[in-house]
Amino acid sequence: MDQPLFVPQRMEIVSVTDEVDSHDILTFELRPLDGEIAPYLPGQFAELSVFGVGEATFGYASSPHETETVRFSVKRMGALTQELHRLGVGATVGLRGPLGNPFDLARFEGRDLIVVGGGYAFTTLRSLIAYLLTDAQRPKVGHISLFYGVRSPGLFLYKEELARWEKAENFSLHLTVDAADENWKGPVMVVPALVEKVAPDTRNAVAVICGPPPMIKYTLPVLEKLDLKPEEVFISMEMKMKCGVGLCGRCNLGPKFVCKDGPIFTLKELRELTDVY
Amino acid sequence: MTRTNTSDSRFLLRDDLTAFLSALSERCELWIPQAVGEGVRFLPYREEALLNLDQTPPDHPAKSILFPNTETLFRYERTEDGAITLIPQETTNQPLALFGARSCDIRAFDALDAVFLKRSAPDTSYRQRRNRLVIIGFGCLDPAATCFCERMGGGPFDEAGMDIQMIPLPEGYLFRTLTDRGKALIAPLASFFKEADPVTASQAEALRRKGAPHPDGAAVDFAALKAAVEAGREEPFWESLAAVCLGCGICTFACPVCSCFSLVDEGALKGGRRIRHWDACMFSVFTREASGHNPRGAAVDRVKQRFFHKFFYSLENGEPPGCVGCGRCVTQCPTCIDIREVIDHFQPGEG
Ligand SMILES: Cc1cc2nc3c(=O)[nH]c(=O)nc-3n(C[C@H](O)[C@H](O)[C@H](O)COP(=O)(O)OP(=O)(O)OC[C@H]3O[C@@H](n4cnc5c(N)ncnc54)[C@H](O)[C@@H]3O)c2cc1C
Ligand code: SF4
Ligand code: SF4
Ligand code: FES
Repeated sequence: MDQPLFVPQRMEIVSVTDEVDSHDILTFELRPLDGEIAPYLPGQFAELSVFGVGEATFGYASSPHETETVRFSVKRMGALTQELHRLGVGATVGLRGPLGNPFDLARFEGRDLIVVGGGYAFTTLRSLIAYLLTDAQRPKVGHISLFYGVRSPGLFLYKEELARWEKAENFSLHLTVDAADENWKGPVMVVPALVEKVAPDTRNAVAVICGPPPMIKYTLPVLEKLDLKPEEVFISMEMKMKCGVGLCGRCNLGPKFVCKDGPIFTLKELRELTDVY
Repeated sequence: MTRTNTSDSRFLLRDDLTAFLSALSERCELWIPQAVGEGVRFLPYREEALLNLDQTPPDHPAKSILFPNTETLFRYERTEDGAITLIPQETTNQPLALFGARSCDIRAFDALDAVFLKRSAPDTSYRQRRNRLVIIGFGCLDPAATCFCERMGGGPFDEAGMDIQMIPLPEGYLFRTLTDRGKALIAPLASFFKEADPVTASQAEALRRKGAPHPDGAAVDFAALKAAVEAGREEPFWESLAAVCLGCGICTFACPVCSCFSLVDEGALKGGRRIRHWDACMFSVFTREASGHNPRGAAVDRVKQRFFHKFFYSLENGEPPGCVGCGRCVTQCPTCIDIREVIDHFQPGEG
């Protein structure tokens, strides 16, 4: 008999990291109790189970080169995320994944990357950048400009890693906050404004955006002004999900399913599907 | 599927039907249309069940045999030390027989197959039941005023998808065996049948060819309907439907084609189960996210979703249209929203 579609793989929580000053985003590191880690690529997601509560959708925050475990950074929102936050090291959760399409890395080859992110959706960009910075992948892409904004400095995810990226070659890191504290020396503005101000060179670039809907909405016109073509802007979409495999009928944008045909779409594809953006 | 020679027709006397079903139920998991409370629905056979072949169509669609209203996907158990065991659902190879379903419900299985078997990862529990399924369909003698299966490409005596077609006649039923699977199902029950005499056979054949008296209406041109719906996405017409829709979801639960579902856990710390149950795009919480954001937050978005899915998205994705014309949503909608009016609005002048 084949593996039942909706029975998850059991995973053990091996570490929990409190990421931000508001203590509402925890990173869970998971190791399989059954079988192996199913191969995945940046941009894909999984359904995590808390048994007795249900499932919810999270993008892989780990990168495929980190082979022992997988990681997800989870913001406390509703029923499942609250229960997940109560679980500690040693607890068992379930994983169904990878689901959805990854970033089409072949289309990034030989190009500069403009990466724009905000909020918890930054998890997916962390996976992408960590992967692209591996020795095997780094030569394939050109300059990487990362724009990342949060409300206040204590809310950046993966602070140590950001500090390392700041020093990476052929990489520019642009962090911004909505409200500074006494130690903040960087810009104080929303992400789209910062992208506009920095105006990265787009002649050989593709853009990747992942963040809350308003951030995406106001960044798109800026990218267009910078002459990026809709087919070269990659957006990670979010819709409420249950099945993650195109069956439950919840996450469609027109005839496409965000879970099955996405979550990564080009701006061109999105324009044909919906008038949301 | 192998189709056998259509001359393989046998006759079952009306008075022998009860004994036949009882004997059949010993050989398979048998579902029959039965009167329950105030409605007629397909449920597993029981000796005391009240068979009802007369209501056209039964209030509840036959889809529940393949896609149960509520289904356990697996159980979980948690031991004292916190370890969790997952127990998948047990499976069986016993044939699953659907008796007495009309052609509309059976044509709808094509649409369910397109979703659960072909759209992406095959749904293993659906496939398991689908592979076990044998269908004894029922020729439909008196379509309701709300039936419009012919407009949707079917017909009361359409045999597509059936393993056996049962044709009701004054003294009993002619069983036309259409596939090897159908043949195998009733072969051990040969003693219940007699050879169809030539008069009976020609009566049945005449019925089958002529069809039953059926409400008029031009056949729907799906490509044209799709284009018209797509072009009419901003029409005020949708607002007129949204203004009366209660968002109760009855139209989707009653529909043999609708297949949206949810996955939820039921249970306590020590153990429980994950279930799948029918859900409806007509509920506002269907798409409401944890942040409160809702891409289909307004009633008009949900009304459009229902009809766009049926007449535009399905076709765009190469799946069958989302309506077989059973008329259930027409009769059961508390505010009388009529899908035929939607079709006529976008395909005027052909009715
Ligand atoms: C592709 C994708 C990637 C995501 N990645 C992350 C991530 O890396 N980190 C993170 O913290 N959050 C992520 N989310 C959002 C996360 O799925 C929701 O915050 C989470 O489902 C809320 O669940 P809940 O049970 O706590 O909330 P409730 O409001 O109680 O939700 C009940 C159920 O509704 C569904 N649901 C509700 N909101 C959403 C939503 N926004 N998206 C999908 N399903 C939803 C889930 O099935 C959930 O269990 C992602 C969402 C998507 C679609
Ligand atoms: S949409 Fe209405 S008429 Fe069409 S198949 Fe579904 S319930 Fe029947
Ligand atoms: S049955 Fe009628 S009122 Fe209820 S959701 Fe469907 S269209 Fe709306
Ligand atoms: S989450 Fe079920 S269809 Fe996309």
